[in-house]
Amino acid sequence: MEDAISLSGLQRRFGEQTALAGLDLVLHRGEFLGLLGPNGAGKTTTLRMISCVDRPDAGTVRVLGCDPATDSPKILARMGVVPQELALYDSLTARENLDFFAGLYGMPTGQRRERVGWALEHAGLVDRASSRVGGFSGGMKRRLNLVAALMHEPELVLLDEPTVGVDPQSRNHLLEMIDGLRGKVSLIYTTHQMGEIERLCDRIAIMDQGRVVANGTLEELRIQAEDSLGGDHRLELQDGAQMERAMQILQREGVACSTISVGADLESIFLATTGKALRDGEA
Amino acid sequence: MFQTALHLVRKDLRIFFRDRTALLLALVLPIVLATVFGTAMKGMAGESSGGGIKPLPLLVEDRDDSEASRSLVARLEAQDGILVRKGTDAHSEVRNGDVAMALVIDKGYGEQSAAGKIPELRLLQDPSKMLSVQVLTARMMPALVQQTIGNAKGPLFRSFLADTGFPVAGIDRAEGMFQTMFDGMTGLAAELQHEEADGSQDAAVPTDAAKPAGGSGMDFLHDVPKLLGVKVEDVTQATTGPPKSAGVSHAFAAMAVMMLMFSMVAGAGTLLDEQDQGTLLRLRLVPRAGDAILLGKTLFLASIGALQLIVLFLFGMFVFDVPVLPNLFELAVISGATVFAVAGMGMLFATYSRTRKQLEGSSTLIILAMSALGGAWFPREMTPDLFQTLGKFTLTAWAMDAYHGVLWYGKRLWPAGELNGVWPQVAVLMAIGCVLLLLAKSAFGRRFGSVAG
Repeated sequence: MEDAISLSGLQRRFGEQTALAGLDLVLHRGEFLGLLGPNGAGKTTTLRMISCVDRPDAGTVRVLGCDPATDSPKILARMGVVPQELALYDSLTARENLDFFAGLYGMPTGQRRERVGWALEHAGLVDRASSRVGGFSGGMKRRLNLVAALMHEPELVLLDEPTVGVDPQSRNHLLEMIDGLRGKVSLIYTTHQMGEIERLCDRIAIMDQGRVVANGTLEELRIQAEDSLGGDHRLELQDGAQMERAMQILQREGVACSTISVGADLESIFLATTGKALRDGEA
Repeated sequence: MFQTALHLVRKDLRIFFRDRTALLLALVLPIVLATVFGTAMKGMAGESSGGGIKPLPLLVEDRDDSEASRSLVARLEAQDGILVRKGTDAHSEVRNGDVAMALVIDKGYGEQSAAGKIPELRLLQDPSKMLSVQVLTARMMPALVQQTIGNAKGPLFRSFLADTGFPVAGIDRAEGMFQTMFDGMTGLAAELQHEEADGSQDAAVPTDAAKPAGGSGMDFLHDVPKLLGVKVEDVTQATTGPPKSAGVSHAFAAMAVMMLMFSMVAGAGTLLDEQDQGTLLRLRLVPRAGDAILLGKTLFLASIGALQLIVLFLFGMFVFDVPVLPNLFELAVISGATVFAVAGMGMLFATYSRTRKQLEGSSTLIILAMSALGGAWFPREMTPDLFQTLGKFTLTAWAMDAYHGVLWYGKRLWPAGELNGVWPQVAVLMAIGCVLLLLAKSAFGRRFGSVAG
């Protein structure tokens, strides 16, 4: 079966600014891919290409086996996008919002009612179904924002920082909701929260300056990144109680040690790969 | 404290001068409106933009075509502030609102004049253009007085003296004295007119000062012409529905169009709200959504526009006797075309504006200017020629003409009797709507991309 998404040699410029500089990326069917990158790396432009909103200057795009340039209606009918903004109508109730978004896909009334019920249940908003969204907390809006993109049962889902500005509980609920889609959809997840990627994604692609600079599972990335992590060596301890004894031994033997790390975390890998300089102005 | 306050002022000024919309509303809008109002008021006061008297058109239908009638026409043509146009169907032109006033010189004018009688004239006027009527009446007076009294004064004066028992032997001398006095008054009148033309006096708009001292209650527009043998006829009284008021008709037409523009531009702003809150992106990700978004928004605007007009005209019907029911079909057609054109304008504003603030600033400027130029605030015929020309490019003018044509002149969609139909105005409004919507569609596609469509 063809990959859910296949991007090859994508280039896109906005005036003098290069947003994509030969991007290659694949999303396998049923896979959860984490897309990481500093501001301006080209993540948003990539998502715009996939979601048929923009076209590349060069390169090829295949989404669900179709070409966005000619088959965008087919793609869009099978794709759900959760934008970073809370794309909801504050003056409408949760139920009205969901019913509206389902209606956009031409769903019959009966099916629409059923899907709205499922979405409210899934988002934990049954009790607030008739409340206007304007009065919802950030977490409630985020949950509604997520299920609104799932009303037409898409097989490909793009999530653009879906947990921005929510408390830990809502974040956990959102991540559980997303995890619940496993096996039903192929998914791309962008965020600056490394923990979320670690928790959800099968594979991670790190972007910088318009191209993918690292790509693989978390373990693969760790191995790839060892060199760039400098001359550090990893000392794995069984538990925290051994830490003090290990330090004593190292000091007695005259081994200089500034940091003790229990395995490189994703954030270290990310920073080692993309550098620590601030990036302003996302493409 | 003062330092802090100054610090705040500096910050606010910096933000203000970077805000183009605020600058537009604070600095440009007052200048534009003052220019439009000032020039229009100057026109209404009788002055042209060059400082002289702005000539107003007077239609003259000379059915007599005698030496005397031609002489009267020549005097009128020589009169400052009157632009004589000769026609053959004065009644129809006034009835259709093409001219504010027409002078009809009927057959027999020359004979009556030669017989030393005060010859009869008919002045056809459109009461809905009272300002023009007043100014024109005042400007015609010198020519009428000179022509009418000048020709008939000798015989009239002799007859008057004989009737009052004046000694027959002194009648010739008395007539000579009267002639001297009349010539002096004619000279004074010419001198005063010259001063008016130089702008040293207010224009010839009749005011209370023009009434005889003591407040006799003389009606300048009717009584003075009557003394000169002029019969004044209002030719645009209602032919359908209840008695009408030109002011009410104008007010409802003007408010309908102007407020429709404001509310529909505000409605079109929901497109920018959707952009800000991210829902526009979600809409664009629906298959074949591009045209549907524009169509949906346009239909939404049409709905609120229709609702607004229905409420306004129902209120007008019940409270001000606006003749809605007898003109229901025409009003529905005109309203449909107006709503369509204004919806196109709203969508164009929304697709070209980056933010709602920008939309509100630019649209306020343009709507107010269009209202002024299009005749929503003051009669278009009183404004300078340039403004009248510019007015023709506003949808306000076409919509106003159509509404006023139906509500005041009793016009139908198609020509009926001597009345023209309002279909040309409706057609122009529809054409404006089509052009504006096509431009909006093009701007929408350029701005938001058409891939998702």
